[in-house]
Amino acid sequence: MKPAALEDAALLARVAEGDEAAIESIYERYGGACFALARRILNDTQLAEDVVQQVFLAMWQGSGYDSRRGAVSTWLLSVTHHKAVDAVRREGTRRKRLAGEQALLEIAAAGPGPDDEVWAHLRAQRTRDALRVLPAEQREVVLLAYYGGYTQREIADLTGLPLGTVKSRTLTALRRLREQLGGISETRPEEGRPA
Amino acid sequence: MTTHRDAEHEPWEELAAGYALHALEPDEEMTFSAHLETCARCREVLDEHALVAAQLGALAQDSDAHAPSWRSIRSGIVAPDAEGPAVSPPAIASLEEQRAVRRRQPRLLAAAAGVALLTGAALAVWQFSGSSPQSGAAAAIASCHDTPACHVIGLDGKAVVLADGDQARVISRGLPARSTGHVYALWQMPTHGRPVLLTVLDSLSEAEASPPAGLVLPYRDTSAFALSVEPAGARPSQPTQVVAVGNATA
Repeated sequence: MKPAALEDAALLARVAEGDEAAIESIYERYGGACFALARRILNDTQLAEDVVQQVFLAMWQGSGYDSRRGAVSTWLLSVTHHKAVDAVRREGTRRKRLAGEQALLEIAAAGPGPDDEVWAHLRAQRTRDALRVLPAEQREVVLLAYYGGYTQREIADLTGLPLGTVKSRTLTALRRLREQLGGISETRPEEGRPA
Repeated sequence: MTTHRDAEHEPWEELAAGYALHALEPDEEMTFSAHLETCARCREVLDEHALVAAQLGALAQDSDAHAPSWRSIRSGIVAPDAEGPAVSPPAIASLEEQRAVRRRQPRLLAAAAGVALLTGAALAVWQFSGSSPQSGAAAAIASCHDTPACHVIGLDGKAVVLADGDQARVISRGLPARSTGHVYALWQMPTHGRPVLLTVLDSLSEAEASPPAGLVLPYRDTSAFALSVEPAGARPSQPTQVVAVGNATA
């Protein structure tokens, strides 16, 4: 396990013992990414804050994180995504969801934010590049699902595609992205260097 | 070259992709969750998809919005007098208020019910492998899914009720820890009439289903199930602080 992952695991162990400083440290590391994801899906700052609070409340109450299944950051983004999708469906904010190809392209084309760290910039740039080279119809189904919070059945209704086509395009798209992004580490580049 | 075995497994891999994006319908979600317990290949594929999904999530940078400070959100996470990782139940709308909201959003009913199931299942996916302590609960859900008379009802993503014949059991899916001196109460909401108390529970587990409680009314006459937090020691006549509710499935 790499140093940052070890640190995260140690912090999580302390969180399980009720150490508030530990969960604050994890929040300082990953709270911003979780908030950005929730806000992008919900298009609502208050709802996004609620989602982030739910994510860290769940962690405080017993995370359920399994280190065999990936990095803490991956797990946190997955839980955040799930709760944000839950909220967008529950709150009836579908009208705000990203539905147009223009909006979807915006995500793929956006440049890095001014606060990006170098490693995050590089990783995000490669992800955008990978999205750009996907056929438009594959990019659309993935982004409608991930950022729009739509189920595949809803995407089929929206696009007029057969449900089976939506499913096969989604799988093909994720496989291609995985191939494109296969060399990207979940953790910072310097973590792989020998001490 | 695509082998016959690969082709046979392709539908599961399609479900894995939808699962990783949280984009499956509730029935598909439950089917895949059950399959995941027995398929190492799908667990591996899902982990790979989850990593891709996280990288998509990392694109959500927004220089115009800043995350709230820890200080501003800590009160909702860490109970002021907490001795450990436990918090008081959140203040939420009453059962009637929640149901009123649902009546105003008929188009979202199916999605909301699905999301409730989805949340529990997807949070559990991280725990479903190997000797995970979640196995008992997951097995109970999978067994219920395969039993015609058994219904899996998600309660706002915080709990799952397994209504099997004339009995009901509950599995926590991240319910807030009850505060000292309080218990959980499981309610059956009839199609017409007031909520009926089924049982009072000192605790609820994510690893195992609660002991079965007898339904007071036939399942076909049930519109919803709900969990509330009540003061310990008294048998409540009506729910006071509802923490999760879910519509009975057909």
